[in-house]
Amino acid sequence: MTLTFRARPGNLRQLELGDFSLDQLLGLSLDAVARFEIEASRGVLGDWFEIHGATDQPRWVFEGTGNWLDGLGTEFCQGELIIDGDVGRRVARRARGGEIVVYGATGSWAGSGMRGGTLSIAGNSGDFLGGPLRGERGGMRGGVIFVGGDCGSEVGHRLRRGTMIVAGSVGPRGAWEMIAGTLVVGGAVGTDVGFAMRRGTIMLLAESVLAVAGPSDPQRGQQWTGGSSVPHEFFPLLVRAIRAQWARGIERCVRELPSVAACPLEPSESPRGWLRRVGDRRVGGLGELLSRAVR
Amino acid sequence: MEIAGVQIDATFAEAFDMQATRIIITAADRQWVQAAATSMTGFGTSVIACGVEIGIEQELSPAETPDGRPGVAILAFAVSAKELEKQIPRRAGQCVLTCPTTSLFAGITAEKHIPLGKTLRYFGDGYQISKVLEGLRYWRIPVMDGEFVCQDATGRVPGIGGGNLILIGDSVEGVVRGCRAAATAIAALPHVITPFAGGATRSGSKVGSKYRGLVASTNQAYCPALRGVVASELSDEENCVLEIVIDGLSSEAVGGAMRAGIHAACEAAGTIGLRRISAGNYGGKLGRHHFHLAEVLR
Repeated sequence: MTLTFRARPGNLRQLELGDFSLDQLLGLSLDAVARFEIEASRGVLGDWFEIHGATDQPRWVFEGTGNWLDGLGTEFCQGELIIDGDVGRRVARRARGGEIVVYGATGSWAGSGMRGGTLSIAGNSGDFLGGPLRGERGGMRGGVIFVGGDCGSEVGHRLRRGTMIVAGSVGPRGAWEMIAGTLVVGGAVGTDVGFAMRRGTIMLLAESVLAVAGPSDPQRGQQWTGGSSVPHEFFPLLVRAIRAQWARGIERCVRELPSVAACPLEPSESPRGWLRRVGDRRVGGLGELLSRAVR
Repeated sequence: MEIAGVQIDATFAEAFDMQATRIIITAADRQWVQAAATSMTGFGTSVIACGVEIGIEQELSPAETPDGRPGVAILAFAVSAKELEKQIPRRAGQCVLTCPTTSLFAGITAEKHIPLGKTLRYFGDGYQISKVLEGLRYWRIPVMDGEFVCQDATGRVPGIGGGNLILIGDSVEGVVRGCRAAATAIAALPHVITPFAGGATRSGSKVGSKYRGLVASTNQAYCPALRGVVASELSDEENCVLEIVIDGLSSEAVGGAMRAGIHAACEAAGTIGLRRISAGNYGGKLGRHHFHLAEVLR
């Protein structure tokens, strides 16, 4: 059975769930859930939601939500969380497992510091996707994030492990200080992509996007090696994994994603049509930037 | 019991618990796959002196491999996990990493592991790249034709070593033809290998020797040249004996391979000199797995 939270109409109060894990509700009565106190927001869950269903399974649905709801899915570790609407900042922060689907847009820091599980966002996402909060050292460390729309700036900041797929475009400083992991972008990329990147893979699927992805300051911006051929041994594995994760992302968000195209990588995509650059050499980085060769 | 005029002895093959693993080699084309696989499985006939019994289990089409290239699956068996952990990375490093265009993947998943890239990555001298895709860790080691891609580890599972058939006939021609037919039939089966050259061995052995320190020596009871000198298992008309050793991932796999081998050998050579099929055992005291010929043929 599912536990459903339907937002009370006309709510304008911010709800902060950053100190709260949905697992705390397992086994409680509906009345106890409604009376569950959220100290950070000085209220109980029943103030924001009409609640029905059952608490015996780790399966939660939030309906009618908006950007007033922050921190939902913090430390999420099992089961399924469906958010039928927009959601605020830090959704799926430090999630460790399970599956989170957002049938709408998210605020900033979606999937911040994620360690496992999947986060699928049908709409757009704000800045700092997967990234650390200010003052924290590490970004995303595992799992998969799929975004059907566009993202803001600093996507994948300090990404260490895991895969991020953004079907649309990303803003400036994508993969900034990336440590490892994989960032795939289907659309345009902003300036300074891969700035201070150490390791990991950035794969740009759109044609000729590198022209706008260069450093905003040529004197101090990132340095890449000249494009070389893409190693033919690993490329098929990467393409296969990205295609599978892209298809799963669309499948999860299918209700809200009629316009998102299938993965633009062919099953038999040849590495010959791609170039590999290594960087950011300014910091001694050995990350790789894969982009289509200009025809 | 008789099949196609060949007598099937009322005896059993005695087999042992082993540690096993399965790996997959892929390459740009079938030639390089075969070259790497042949090299890696070389000198892997018997644990007595090779450390590992290793062979090609089956060829894999591009649709069956992790990277969509032609490949082979290799099975390896050793008496201990420690020996397997020593042999597999060593062979992979010298025979697969070195072979142009190849990649190396786990062929079996299990809780226990045998290191592949986990050990070989150091060849990258700091330029190796770790990549986790779909929950699996790969290592990308820069080499002169691009990258050697190697999965971090493969699974280690319990296996069975020492399933066997002893083919006895009145001529080399008849027994050899029976052996070839049996080995071909077994090669088509999954989860088993016949580790000896061509699938057969002429040097069936017994445990121990008159010489101190030698763990195995010739099985004189099956040597036609010693008939009349020692207590022989051979009649006056039986002048050639060859043994097929079978290692497998399960008793069902080994038993199935023995059945397929017996039928193939009898049908191919029953009329041209193959007289009898027997099996090797140590009285049932050493190995836990007993494959009675009558039972595997049921």
